[in-house]
Amino acid sequence: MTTALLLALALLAAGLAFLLLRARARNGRLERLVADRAERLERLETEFGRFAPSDVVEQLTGTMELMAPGRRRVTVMFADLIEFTRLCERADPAQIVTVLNGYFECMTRAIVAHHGRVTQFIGDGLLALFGALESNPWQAQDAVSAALAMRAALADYNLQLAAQQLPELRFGIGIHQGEVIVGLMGNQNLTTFTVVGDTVNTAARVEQLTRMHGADVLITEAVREKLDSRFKLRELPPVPVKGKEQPVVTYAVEGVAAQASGDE
Amino acid sequence: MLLQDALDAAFASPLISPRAKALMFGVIARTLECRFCENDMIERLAQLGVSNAAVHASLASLSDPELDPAEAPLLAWARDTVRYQTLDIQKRTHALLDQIGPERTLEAVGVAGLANATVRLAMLLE
Repeated sequence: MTTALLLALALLAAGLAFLLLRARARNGRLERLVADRAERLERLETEFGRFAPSDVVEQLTGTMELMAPGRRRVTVMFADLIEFTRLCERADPAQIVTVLNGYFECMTRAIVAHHGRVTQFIGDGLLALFGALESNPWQAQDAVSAALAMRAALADYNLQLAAQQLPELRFGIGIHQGEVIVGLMGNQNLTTFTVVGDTVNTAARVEQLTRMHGADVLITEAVREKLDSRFKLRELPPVPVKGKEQPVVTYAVEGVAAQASGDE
Repeated sequence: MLLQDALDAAFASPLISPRAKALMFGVIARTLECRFCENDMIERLAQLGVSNAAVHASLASLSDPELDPAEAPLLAWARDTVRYQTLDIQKRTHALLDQIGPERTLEAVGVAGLANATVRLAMLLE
């Protein structure tokens, strides 16, 4: 009787041990699966991050709420290289791509440091937005501070280019503020978070005026009225612009007085 | 009550001036678009003798000429604590540490944390 009881207990213990081992093995497999999926997601975010700003990627992988189409008041910045096409005609393509990528890297860093987001690279130009993903009461001064940081970054980058006997780069920047439609736009294969509307067109036109006025950073009246007195501006004569009934008044941004955050 | 105690203790702590702390609260309230909290801070600043116009100018420019130079970077930094990515806020806080020193930075982190929590709670109750 005792032997039979012991045998039954041993069998029960063996059964329990088997079930425990199987559960552990299954648990281990699930843990490995979760770790593998987490690693793949992280890799995907890193790779995706090359095509969209990291916070946009984070929003996409988290909530899509902020990506929903809508109308927002946004400050739009267009930056374009001047006479870069002429440089492209005579320089080595690989060198051109390297120079351009280095330039975009510097400019993006300056924009991101001032709460902006580069949403598109268009040839040798870029489109950056301030206040597009979430409300930003300081979007106008952020955009202008970013432009000044870009000016300083370009001067540094030109020193690097000169050291390699490469021609210096010059840019024009146009900044305008107004209501736009924001959202994820594109097709099934290529989508980008961007904006459309007259504000975008005006910013692009203002950027083109930099050549006429001989100023590298121009802002519109809508931006100027949002700035505080630290920013040194020079009013320029009104100029007729395509798509606008009234001539557009712009201001050249000359600099900013030293401030708390250390922006120059 | 617990929150009120925390707020009182935060404002009583001597390393950062009450004016700078109230402005940090105001900046965070404005970033989160909590009009109630912003007005509350304007009232608190008025009790400290700061005019309405001076508060608005400080909040608009994220700077205040009356602050101690060591407190000057706090307003721009407070704004950065509202929405951030970990690496980015770490960099910005390290920069703050270099500018204002460890004691003030620690107090600033506490004030910003409390302000973020308070304003977000107030928004839920609005």
